[in-house]
Amino acid sequence: MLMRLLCKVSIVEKTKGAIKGLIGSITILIILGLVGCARPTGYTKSASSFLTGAKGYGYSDKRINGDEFSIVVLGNPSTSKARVAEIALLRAAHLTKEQGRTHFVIIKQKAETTEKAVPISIPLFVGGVLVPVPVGEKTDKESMAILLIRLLPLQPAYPPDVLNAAEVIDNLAKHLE
Amino acid sequence: MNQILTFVRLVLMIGMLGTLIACSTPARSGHMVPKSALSLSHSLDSPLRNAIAISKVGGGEKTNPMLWSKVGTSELHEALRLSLSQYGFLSTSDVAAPFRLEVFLIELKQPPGGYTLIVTSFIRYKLTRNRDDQVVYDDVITASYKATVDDAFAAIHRMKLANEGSIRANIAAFLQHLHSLNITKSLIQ
Repeated sequence: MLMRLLCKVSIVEKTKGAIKGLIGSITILIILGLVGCARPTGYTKSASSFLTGAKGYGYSDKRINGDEFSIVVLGNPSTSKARVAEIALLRAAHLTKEQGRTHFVIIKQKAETTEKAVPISIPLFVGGVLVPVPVGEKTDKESMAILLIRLLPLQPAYPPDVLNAAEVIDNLAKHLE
Repeated sequence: MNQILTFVRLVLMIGMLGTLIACSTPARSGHMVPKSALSLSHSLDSPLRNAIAISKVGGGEKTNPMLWSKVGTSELHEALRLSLSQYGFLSTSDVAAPFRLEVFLIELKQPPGGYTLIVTSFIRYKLTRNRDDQVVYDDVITASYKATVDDAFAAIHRMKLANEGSIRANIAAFLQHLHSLNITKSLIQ
């Protein structure tokens, strides 16, 4: 009878320990998740995932041909469409200066909301090993901005509808960079 | 307890081995051709019938076998050629075609992982009349495709299917826009 009592106490203690461990893991994951999503995307170059090569949040650009470039900005779920559009415009201005030019025109601009399926997992102890067990999926909305620009050749004067890269940087850099 | 640990280790090892063995391959041209974007009668009516030559395609990326599948420029070019041909828009002569088409894959938005993979493509299409270089169409089309575990168990294959589906939907949308363009036959000659 004493042995049975000791066994029962041991099982209860082990169960309590496992539950505490689980609660602790879930709390840490929630905190990390909140911290990760709290800040909107800043003016940062997107980095590719080491494992898959998928692009992360931030800006990227490609040369289409000659003086035409495309700029794409992907924002995290906390980033508004207006902010990604501003990041794209700031990158356009920096790109213009990097190419040795001073002015550019916008050929096309688009703001989109795209979806990403995010798996929901809960950590469970399986044989003493913490294993993420998928329990469902949620859909996150992410803002994207697409900008197509043409760099103008250096010349003494420019039409009024053309954008001055230096002015764009002055206006936007302070609250984005 | 030992049996559970052994089972977990075995599952992890099989998963890692599967990752090593499976290699990514680029999206397939034939799988990016829309199957029913337009009815045949629609394309027969269009003033752009047999009037378009593909002059330039860009923006594709080479696939690294160790990473996610991508859409290559040559595969995209071939998919466009097949699509325009299938729906009667492709000119028989590149030199004599009334219109030239330039296509650029601006972005192929891919998720980092997951069971459901949603890929979104952004492609710029620019259609120019050759005789006077007038641009008759210039727009960026967005299209998404969702691939689930039902489509393919292996994530690498699932991603390829999602890429192909997204490009296929994008080209289908472009063909619809082509059909809707307000171009009279007199403007073509």
